[in-house]
Formats: sequence, C-alpha cells, structure tokens
Amino acid sequence: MVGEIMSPLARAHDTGLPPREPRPPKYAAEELYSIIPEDVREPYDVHEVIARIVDGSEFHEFKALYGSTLVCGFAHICGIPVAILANNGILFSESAQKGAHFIELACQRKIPLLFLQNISGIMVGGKYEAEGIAKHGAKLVTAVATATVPKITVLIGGSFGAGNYGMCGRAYDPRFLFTWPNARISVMGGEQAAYALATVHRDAAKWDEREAEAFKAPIRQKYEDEGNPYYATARLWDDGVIDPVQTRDVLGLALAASLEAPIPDRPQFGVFRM
Amino acid sequence: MPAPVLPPALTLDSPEARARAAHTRARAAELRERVAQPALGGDQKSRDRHTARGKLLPRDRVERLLDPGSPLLELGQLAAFGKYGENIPGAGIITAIGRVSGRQCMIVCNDATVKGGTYYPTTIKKHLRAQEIAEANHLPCIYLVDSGGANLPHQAEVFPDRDHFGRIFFNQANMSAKGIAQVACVMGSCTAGGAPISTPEGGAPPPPARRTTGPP
Repeated sequence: MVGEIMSPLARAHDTGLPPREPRPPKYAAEELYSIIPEDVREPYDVHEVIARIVDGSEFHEFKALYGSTLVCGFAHICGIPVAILANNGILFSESAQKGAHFIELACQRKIPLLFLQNISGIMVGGKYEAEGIAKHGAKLVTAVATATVPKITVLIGGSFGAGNYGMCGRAYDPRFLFTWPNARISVMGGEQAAYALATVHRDAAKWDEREAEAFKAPIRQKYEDEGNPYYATARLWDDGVIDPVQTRDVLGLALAASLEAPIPDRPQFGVFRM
Repeated sequence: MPAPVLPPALTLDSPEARARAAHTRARAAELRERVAQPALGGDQKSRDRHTARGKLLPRDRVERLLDPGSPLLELGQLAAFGKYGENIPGAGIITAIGRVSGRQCMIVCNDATVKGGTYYPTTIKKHLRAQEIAEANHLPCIYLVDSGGANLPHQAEVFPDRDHFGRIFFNQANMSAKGIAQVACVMGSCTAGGAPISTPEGGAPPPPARRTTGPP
C-alpha cells in the first residue's frame, strides 16, 4: 500500500550532470587494507585511496604541484562526477588556497564535492602565521561552508582540530558523513592535550616527573576513549562506520541520493584566483 | 579526453603492507561483528513476543517495502552503541535510504523489540538526522510506526527542547510544505508522541493500531 502511494511521485527534476557509464576502479578495493596505516599519524599517499574508489582509477588532478598536501581533482564514482579534496599531509597556506579555489570551481560546474579527511590540523608557528595561514585557512573554511553543491565527507584517518572544519566536518553540513574504523576524532591529540593542560596547571612548577605523569595519564586515556570512531558513531557525529572496501558502493548510493535535490544556481561571482 | 589513470605505486607484498592489511582486516571484522548485533534488534524474548503477535520484525518490514533488488543505504547503525547503561541496539530505530516504487526514499522504522520502540535521546537524534538528510536531498519519507513514544525516564532529554520530539512533526510539516512527500504506516503501537508522526498526508493505518495521545 505504501508502495502504491509512492508510485506516482515522479522525480522532480533533471540533475543536469552528464551521465557516464559506471566503471569499476582498475585496482581492487581489498588493496585498501594494505594501504591504511595502523596509526593515523603515519603518512601514506592518498592517491592510493582515490585510485581504489573512482571509476577506472581515472583522476584529473587540479594543480598537482602546488599545495600538494591537499590533493584536489575531478573523477567519477559510479558514473557520477565528483570533485575530490583529499588530505596528503598537514594543511599549509598554499594547500588551503588551492582547496578554496577548487571548491569555487566545483560550485561553478555544479559538481558534488567529496572530502577524504585525514588531517592532523592546520600548520601553526610564527613563520606560518606571519605568511597568513589564518586567513588562508579561513578562505577554505568559508568555501566549504558556503558551497552550493552536495558535499559528502569520509573520515579516512585523523580528524583533529580546525582540520575537521576545513575538511567539511559535521558542522559544515555534509549531506552524508561516514567514518572508517581506523579514524580518530578530537580537538587535538591526547598527548598534546595532556601537555597543554599540565602546562597551565597552577601546581605544574612543583611537580616532579611522576606527579606530572599521574596528571597526564587520565587525560590521555580520556582522549583515547572519546576519539574512538565507535564513541563518535554512537553519538551520531557521523552517519555510520563503514568498511573501507565498501566506500565506493556507499558513496555511489549517497551521491545518487544527493542528486535527487536540484543543485542551486551557481554563485554570482567568478572563480577568484586565490 | 579521459583523465589520466593513477599509477599502481603500491607494493602489496612488503612486510609493512602485510602488517597494515592484517591490522585493518581485523578492524573491519570487528566492525562487522558490532553491526551484526544491532541488526537483530531487541533480545530473543522481545523478538519472539513481537512475532507471536503476528507482526513482522522491523527489518523484514523494510525489506518487503523495498523494490526487489534495491540497495539499502543504512544510516547510524551503531547509534547509542555503548552509550547507555543498557543495550539499545541501533537506538531502537532503523533509518535507511532505499528504492520504493522506483523512487529513492528515506525509510524510518521503529523497532518495537527494543524497549517498545520508545524514543531515547539518541533515537530522537537519529530520527531527526534521517529527516535532515531527506530534506536536504528531497527524499520522500516513509515512517513505519510502532512506538511507545517518548522514553519516560528520559523525558527531560527527549521532550521539550528544540531538537527533541516536537521537531519530528515540525520537520514533517515543513517537508510537506516543500513538496517532499510524507507517508506513515501505523504497524503497531502509536502512542503519545507516536500519533502525530502517523498523521501526515498519506497515512495507512492497518489494524491492530492503538493510538492514544495527549496529557494523562
């Protein structure tokens, strides 16, 4: 009976995206298991992940040689065009500007955005602050927040601090957000938090090493527990933990669902060179 | 012109790659195990009692609603996992996107085998998230209602605030106003807060439906 009610509800609009025949990636999804490090702090090349998710493993990279710690480029997933932003190291001014530029381009072309988030944070330190990391990071966050195309985020590794925001964390309204079981989510790492809290403690100057450790250990443990992806998903900070090998299928379904709503008209500005 | 194909730069048989594979496979196995439990719903006794009343289990309801062969994108399967002192599998509600009569829909299905389908704080959050996804993506909503309404011991965390139970009806009304179809099927209890969920545009209440609402 419910099925009968649904049947006359015609699809409301045409997505306008050029359809393409879906093709599997050239490399097996199971190989993702060999790529993902046990510890999110361990670096690896995120192109290896993209190659196992996108149609034909074909990737048209945008400014590959500039701001290379944020990989940006166009591809198709299950025949649907996507504009991918994937972390490949810490976010610097150049990578943030490139990301903002790329998002503008995707919005102009009405191509959905896919964020593959694995970020320990945005670069800090006097040199980087003097060259404007704060304002360049803000450009990326602004582009992410106001993008008019569907956004989908997958936490494939670390999700720390402002990096979570710049890469379309939950607060930036991705249409869907999925997490890999190896991901870690917190404002900063446990060790860093324990160190910061110990430093500002009024008795810190009087502590010997053992006392300092006694103060830090429970903080580290708290971050360990609360940074766990199962802690996150239990509280619906995401839409589910997924097996990495299912990523392409899940994204295909999520993208198809996203295209049910019309993509709003592109913004009235041109694409700013960042 | 096709985009360049990414090169197979990875060495799969290095000791490092093998160690990574072993570790990540173990994590994937752990995930499968954790998802399998809430997929069953409530405990055996609750499920037996449910089926003894001639009712289908919630997953069977969803399965029968879907077009044959339709994929199902389930959301928030591990909601409430380890969160409350007691086990509330999937927060007592199934939310998923699937194809019904050729149309992609958001399906929201109470699980009466979990605490009578009552709404814990996380149940509310999961229901509201499903509606948020439906609204953003213009997905028609199908509610398969079988719920005792608000979980009374938790009433202060499920009843009065902006993103609490009232928001469910608010969302239904506003999605309906936007032309996003809202269809409910009452399949069991439809008590207290459950009743307004069941009164959007295309209700289908089969017997035996019990509907009560309002102040005590």
